[in-house]
Amino acid sequence: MQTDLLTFLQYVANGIVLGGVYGLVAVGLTLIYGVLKIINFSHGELVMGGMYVSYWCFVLWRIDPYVSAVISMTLFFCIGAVLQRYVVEPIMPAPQINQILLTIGVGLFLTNLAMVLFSPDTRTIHVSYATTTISFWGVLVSIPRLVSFVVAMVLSLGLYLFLRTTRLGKAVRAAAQDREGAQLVGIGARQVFIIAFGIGAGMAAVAGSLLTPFYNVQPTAGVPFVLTAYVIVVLGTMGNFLGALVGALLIGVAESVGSYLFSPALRQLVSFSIFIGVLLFKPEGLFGGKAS
Amino acid sequence: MRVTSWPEAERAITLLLLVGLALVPLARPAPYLLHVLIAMILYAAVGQAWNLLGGYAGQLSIGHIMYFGVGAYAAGYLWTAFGVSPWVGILIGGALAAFLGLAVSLISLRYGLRLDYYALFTLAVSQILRTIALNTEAVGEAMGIYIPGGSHNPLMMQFETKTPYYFISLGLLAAITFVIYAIHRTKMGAYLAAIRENEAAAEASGVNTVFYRAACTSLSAALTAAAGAVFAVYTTFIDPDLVLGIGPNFEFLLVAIVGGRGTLFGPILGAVLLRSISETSRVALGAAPAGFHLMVYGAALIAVVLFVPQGLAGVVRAVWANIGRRGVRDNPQVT
Repeated sequence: MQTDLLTFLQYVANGIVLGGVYGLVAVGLTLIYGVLKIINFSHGELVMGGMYVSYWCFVLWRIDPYVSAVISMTLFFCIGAVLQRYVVEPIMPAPQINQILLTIGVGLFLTNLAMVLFSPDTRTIHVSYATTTISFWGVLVSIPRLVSFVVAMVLSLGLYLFLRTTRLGKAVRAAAQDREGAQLVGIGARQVFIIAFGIGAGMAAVAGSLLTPFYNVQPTAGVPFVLTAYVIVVLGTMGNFLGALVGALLIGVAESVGSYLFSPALRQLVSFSIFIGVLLFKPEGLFGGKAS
Repeated sequence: MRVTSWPEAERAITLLLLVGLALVPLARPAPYLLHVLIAMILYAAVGQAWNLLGGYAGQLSIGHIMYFGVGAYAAGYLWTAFGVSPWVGILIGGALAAFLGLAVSLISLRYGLRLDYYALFTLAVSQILRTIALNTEAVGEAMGIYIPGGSHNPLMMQFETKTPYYFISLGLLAAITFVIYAIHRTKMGAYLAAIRENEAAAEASGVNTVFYRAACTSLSAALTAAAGAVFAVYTTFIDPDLVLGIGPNFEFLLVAIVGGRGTLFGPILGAVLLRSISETSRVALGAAPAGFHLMVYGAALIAVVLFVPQGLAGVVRAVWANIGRRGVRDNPQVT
């Protein structure tokens, strides 16, 4: 086979596996938006938080990032729930501008808390399997990236099933669709909001953990992911769960192929261009009109 | 004692702050202090320019640094590449930023991007510009632009001491403040307030929301760019993270929000407070904890949004209303 095609497929494969992690960041963001109608501008900082949890677990106790992902998720579920209960909830009735500013404040605080605690240094962990690869008909895929992709997909689909089938999940969806109606039938909207923010934060942190085997950890590490996640949730329709997953894979591939066709430095330009295009021509996203 | 109305008091406080700042060089402050004050005044100027759009017109332009960057890069590039005087660079940068502001506002109006979508859109545009600057050889890519300074040539905005830069920055801040004051007194001020409070209702009452939003964005952009140009020439060095990065972006916004958006002296007060915090923390803690002052900024932003959405100026106003026992009735409050 021509090497050009193989290289191209290589980039596509990289895009797909990275798209899986993007998806995890994006489903959290879209869940919070769908339920609370708030764009969480501190989402990237939650990803970063998960990265540091896995980093320190590995450095201090040699806990593998794929194991400490569970710690990340639990810890950040609690942090998200506390944030919702004590910081976001008091301004739920306030104008949207205040909510946006509030989450920006939370993000700014968390980024710089990490700066103060852990310094701006770039940190990496060296897991034994960092450079192992697996070949699919000549296309090499890094095993840690593949594992992260699979875990991300399983978690996303698990969350989807949770929202679809369990009583609590249905309550979350009901509150997302019609807050007052849900309250009328006895769903405690407050609790649902707390759970939704907790899950969103937990998912973001897991994504951070899954990134640590092959991604540099630093206080601003979450920024590119969350900027991409905004693109994804807008592309896949704000609040639409499966839309976020599909959007994530599309953007992952687009960025990766973009960096192949142009230059790696321009990969973000690709997703931003898609973003602007979607905002302008299809602001309701690919799945507009359909509720998740 | 005659108690003046809030708009009069607001005007008086603003004037007092500006005059107070103008008198500072008389005390012959050390160059370092003067440097800190120039930075503070430039922050106040950007915050004030944002205030026109974000405070008075209620447009959440959270990627506002794009206009600052355009001004800084225009002045820096025109000078280093063609020897164009920064005085002209300010005008060209301002015009370019106004054009960008026009494009951003018309696009967002055409496609109905409001509130959070508008916020995301401006943020995305600012980061696109940053990526472009990072990858454009003419403006030095990640290295940025180094602007040679240190000589004495007023025509090229070159001075051997910091004092002239102090007055240029202060003059700019005063000019921006005056523009806002003047607009606030005209019909346009009322229209912008109407757009901020309820855009649909404003439109229905016959306000040309498209024109006023676009005009306000362009004006705010041009003023922001002017501050960017002065910043570039004064600091003699710019790079994509410095003048288009997300960090400084939020610092500028915070000056206006913590100080009090939609008030005449809020951004000035905000800059004084926030820059004092950052300088004090730097002196007290040394350079080691890099993000400490920004961490405090984040906490301040959370506290302001939760407890005093009108910012410091809102607190001043409440105190004022208490003293005067006249209540707050002359202006609709920004919430």
